[in-house]
Amino acid sequence: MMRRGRKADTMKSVVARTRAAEDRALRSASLCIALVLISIAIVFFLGAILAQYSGAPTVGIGVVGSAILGFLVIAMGRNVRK
Amino acid sequence: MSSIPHDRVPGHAVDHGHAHDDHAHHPGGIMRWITTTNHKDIGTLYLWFSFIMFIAGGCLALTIRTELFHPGLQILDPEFFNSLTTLHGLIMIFGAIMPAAVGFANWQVPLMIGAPDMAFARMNNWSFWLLPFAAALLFGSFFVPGGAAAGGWTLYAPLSVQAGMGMDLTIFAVHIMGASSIMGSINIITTILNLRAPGMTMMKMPLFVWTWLITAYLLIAVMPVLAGAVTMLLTDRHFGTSFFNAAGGGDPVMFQHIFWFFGHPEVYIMILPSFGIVSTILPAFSRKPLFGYASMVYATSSIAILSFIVWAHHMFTVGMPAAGQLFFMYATMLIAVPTGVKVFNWVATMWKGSMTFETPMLFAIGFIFLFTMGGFTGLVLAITPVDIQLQDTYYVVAHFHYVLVAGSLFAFFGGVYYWLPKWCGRMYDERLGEWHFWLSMIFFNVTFFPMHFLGLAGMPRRVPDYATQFTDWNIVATIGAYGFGLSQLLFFYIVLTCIRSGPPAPAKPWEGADTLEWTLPSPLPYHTFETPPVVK
Repeated sequence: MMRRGRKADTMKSVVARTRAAEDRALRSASLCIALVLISIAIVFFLGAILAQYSGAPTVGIGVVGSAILGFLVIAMGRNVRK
Repeated sequence: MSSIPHDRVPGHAVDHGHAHDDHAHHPGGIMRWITTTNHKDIGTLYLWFSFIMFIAGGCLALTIRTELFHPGLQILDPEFFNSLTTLHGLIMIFGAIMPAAVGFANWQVPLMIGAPDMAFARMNNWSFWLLPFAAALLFGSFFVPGGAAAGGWTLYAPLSVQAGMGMDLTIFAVHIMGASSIMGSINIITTILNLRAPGMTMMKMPLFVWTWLITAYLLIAVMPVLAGAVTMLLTDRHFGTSFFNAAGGGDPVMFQHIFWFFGHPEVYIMILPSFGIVSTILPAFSRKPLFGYASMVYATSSIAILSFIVWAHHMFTVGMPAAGQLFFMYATMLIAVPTGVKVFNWVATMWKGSMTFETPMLFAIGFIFLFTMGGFTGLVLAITPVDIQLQDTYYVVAHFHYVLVAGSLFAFFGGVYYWLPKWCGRMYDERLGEWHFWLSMIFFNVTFFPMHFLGLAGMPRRVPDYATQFTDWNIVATIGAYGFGLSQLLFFYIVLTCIRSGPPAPAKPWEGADTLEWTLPSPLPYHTFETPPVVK
């Protein structure tokens, strides 16, 4: 009886630990995605301003535009495969 | 039936978990709404906020139409008239349409992918509560010296560089709303990528989720560009820079390029979630799976990508090389291809379906009919020589209202009627809903169809006075605007009576609906899918 109780407790703690680990992994994966997206937003924000300093606006717009297109194609392509 | 193919997600194969439905631990009263991190509460907040903004922006529109009822200056001075057109645009775009779309996303994305909530619940709360402050800045700008911004919603330099303090408040409001949108987008992308239920692969996601995923990527890419543009505007105004000031060596036309680099994708940010809603409603009331699910996904992605390379079609009259004009003309026309694929698929979905015409379906069909008209006038405007004639006329006003009112707004009405029974557990009055649709449909066309004639005849937009030959159609448009505005009070009444005293709704009031949310009871428990459902 006691042994069975201990076994059940152990099972419970294993399940709890596994869930906690899964939650941590999910949280860190979410944070990773969020950081990537924030960094993209910052690049576009600063890019739009810094492109004006470069003296050749078409170059700036071209670079930002290519970056956006490349990002969209890669991001969607990766996720479609999942 | 939803955008999920039937053979992939049969309702009986979904093992949904809501074992903890009975425990709704949340504070009551006002604190519930201020501190909430629940996606349903935040979705509700977004939708009510957008409705309030819609009414406020609508009041500005009615004031504009009242002034235009007759030629000559009636009740407004020209400067204030310009402020009204500017604020009407900003409030409707950033205060009404975008928050409404985010409201739908908050309610529906977690439910449709089997997630317990959004990935970043606290940030979700923050994203919403930034908006009332931005709205306060916008409305507050009416009361500062110099009045509200009056340069149009596009905030073109150099006028916006020279404008009064109202422009500063508008710039800050745009910053805040942009930050809110970016945070919301990060949340939505992360939720969709990380919190899908087991078995819910990307190509099994309902089309509404797909359209929002693509919209969120668009937002991440273009909102910072707008923020950059208005930041430069701010430094030009107060810190001695000359980004857009020709006197200091800057280039005012560059502002237009940067603005429309944001502005054109913004049009798709406003319309893509509506595509998703319509793609959810049509199969449900046609009792058939969505025709061409995969092609719809690819068409949506194509529209999003193409939206980045067409911005200068807004600037044909500014002056650009012939090669540039040709490129932007053809690129714009190219968008008609994926859009045509979507319209074809919607019609094919209805083809030989067992259709019924409840209010959501009426709005969805109204959307297809009127949005297609708006799309066609867009094609007309894409032709450079025609656009040079019609630039800044009422033809353009008619075009974008057919896309954004009959497009976005009609889809949102359809979405509210479709999901309201699930959200609040009560049915709305179907007869009144149909009245709302027909009144909106008729008065919308009475308001905006004559604007095509006015534009073709040469009536310029953003003017409080006009030549007398435009009088008749302006009278018709103003009468239509009042009718359309009053019809929306009926919508408010229908929603309110539904929430308070509508008859109880079954778990699945629409026979053909089959996305995950319909596996849950009505009204939805406060917490859903705490144990992820298994989609087979």
